[in-house]
Amino acid sequence: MPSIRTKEFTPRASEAINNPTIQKSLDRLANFRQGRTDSIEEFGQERWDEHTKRAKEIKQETLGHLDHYLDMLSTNVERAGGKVFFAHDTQEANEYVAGVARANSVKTVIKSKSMVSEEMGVADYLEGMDIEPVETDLGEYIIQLAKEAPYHIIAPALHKSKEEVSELFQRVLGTPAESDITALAGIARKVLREKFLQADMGMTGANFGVAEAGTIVMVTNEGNGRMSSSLPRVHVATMGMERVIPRLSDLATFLPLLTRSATGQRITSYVAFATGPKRRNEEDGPEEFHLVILDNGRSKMLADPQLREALYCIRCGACLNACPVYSKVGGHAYGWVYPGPIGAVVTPSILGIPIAKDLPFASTLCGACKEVCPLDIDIPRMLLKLRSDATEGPAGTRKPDRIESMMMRGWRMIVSSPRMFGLAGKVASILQWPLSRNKFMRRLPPPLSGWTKSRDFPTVSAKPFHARWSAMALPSEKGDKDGK
Amino acid sequence: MASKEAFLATVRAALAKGNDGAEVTPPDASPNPADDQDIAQKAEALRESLAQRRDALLEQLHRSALLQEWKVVFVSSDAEAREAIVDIANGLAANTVVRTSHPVVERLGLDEALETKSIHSVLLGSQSNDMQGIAAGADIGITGMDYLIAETASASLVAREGAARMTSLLPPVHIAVAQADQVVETIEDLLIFREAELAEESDSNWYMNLISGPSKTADIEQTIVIGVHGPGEVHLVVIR
Repeated sequence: MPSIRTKEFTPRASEAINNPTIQKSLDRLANFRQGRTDSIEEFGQERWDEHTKRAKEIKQETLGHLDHYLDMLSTNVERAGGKVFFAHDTQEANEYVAGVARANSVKTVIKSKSMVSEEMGVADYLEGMDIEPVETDLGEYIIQLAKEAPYHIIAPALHKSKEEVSELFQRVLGTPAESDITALAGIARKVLREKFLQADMGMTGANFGVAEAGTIVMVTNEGNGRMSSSLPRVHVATMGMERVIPRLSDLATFLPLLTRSATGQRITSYVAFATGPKRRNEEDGPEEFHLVILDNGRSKMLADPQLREALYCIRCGACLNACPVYSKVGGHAYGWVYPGPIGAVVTPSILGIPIAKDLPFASTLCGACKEVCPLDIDIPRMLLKLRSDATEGPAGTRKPDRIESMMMRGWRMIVSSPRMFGLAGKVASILQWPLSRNKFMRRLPPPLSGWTKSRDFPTVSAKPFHARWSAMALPSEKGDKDGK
Repeated sequence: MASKEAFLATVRAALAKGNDGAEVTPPDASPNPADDQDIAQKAEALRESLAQRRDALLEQLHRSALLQEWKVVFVSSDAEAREAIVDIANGLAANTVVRTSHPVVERLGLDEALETKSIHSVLLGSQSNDMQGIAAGADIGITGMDYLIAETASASLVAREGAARMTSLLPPVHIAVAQADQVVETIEDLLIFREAELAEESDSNWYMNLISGPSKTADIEQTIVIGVHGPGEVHLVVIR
């Protein structure tokens, strides 16, 4: 498995917040958000909602009979001449991939982007066996050269400026400094083209595994997925066990949800359906096809009615783009493979709560993630469940401290009595005056100073809401709604 | 070493434990395309419906193809298609062209026409010892397409004898050729036709590619760069 740094959430989040280059990169998430919005408008909101509804039904049906559909998928892959390996964990998956590589005397493996292969850490594993793994998605290639984890599910090198990419290429590839993005991509194309032509094995992920057809479907824009699955002698695809869908016709439901949510595209430049190895009368294509289906903690999520919904995820990344926390702290703060709101659910579910207990708290529970999710996954509900497990469950190690508990008890006392609440408001509006400037408090004394370190606190209004509410004109009178 | 049975047993145990009592649709027992008795009729009805809407679909295809950054050429005869393709190759000062033997390409007589401009045209196939080298060295790849999806400007391609995958993958320019009667509206339509074809051929191999524009990336500063690993220039020639 790749290095796990989930316990460093706070320092790594601060690092990102204080890095202006990274903040500038994260500001570009606005493009993804806009692209998604425009694309759904073009598609039609009503049609979109129908697709979401249908997609949820399909996922519920598939996961409810996951054994049946996995059996069907593997039978049909084998019928097409492919081999299927079921892996309980990443160790088993890596050993199998390495075994295939060894049996074929493979020296170079070209990889197209796959989150499951990141989860496996298969690149490091192969490298340890003197097999050269080469990432071919431009973003993945950049972070492979930089020896970093992906920053975003669909944009792995989101945090890198073109200057940083140029420096990286100069340092690792020895190419001259370059400020033009097209030229930088050209450098990668040239280096990687050589690798494509000499590689003996290609690895890809699978956006969907279609049970009835024994086909895996890969969605890419660069063409590296097609190359990785067509040019080398051996093609190995990896997929999480939840990525199976029953029917080909289900693709008509899922493809637009995926591409429009991810980048706002109608469709990606390539959608490749790989089915077994090449057949005798075909001109080219791999001679061997292997599909590795990975559990790695997913069955634990399947067994938990409150977490099963997280397995509906199609990895579009929309929840990352919408999240006010991800948009500031970036991808590396989450410390493992899956960042953002869905990562805050998946990571503790796979790795265990004690290791990733901070992640479910890295959310304001604003609900933006659920709002944009094409499967309408209730991420906030699951974050609350994981928070409760972290504090009160058997694995709970994030016990609230004494001061926090005391403050919560006091708060409960105040808010459960209207009289106490009114009184507290009055007291606060008097006590706050030495600290307030223009209706904001810029610094609070400890233990509240943590709040004001990075944001201002609005002052308590002199005229509280309930007073304004009573003074408000009735809606029928069409009066001044502010009640001024 | 996990066997399939042990793996599926784990899944079954998880399903039993995680059953929240919600109603679950029974599984689709055998959705294998070849088993679908109605698929031939379904395809026939769809064919008729599409034929009636052909002009509107071609217009829709034209619009979406431009949005998907295809260079679009609509022609009204094989002769015009041949001329258009020779013009493209000539304009790019191409030396070598690789092509497939798809009927829609085969009948254009491209080899002779290109040869008059001193452009060498090769049918890419496994008989050659250095197929990959030839494809990678070619300036243009020309393929006949099976279907065109109007909504997304996607052209579909299956690998078969005389239709090497790398023809549309390795050269920097791709010319996709299709006839107007191959246009469908949505991906649903395409899947119905493919299913019907496979059922008719008693085949079950679902290898297929959808190509919907040039190879591209936005991985550096979200700036779009055209032509990363696949062709950066793609032409769609539609014969009406």
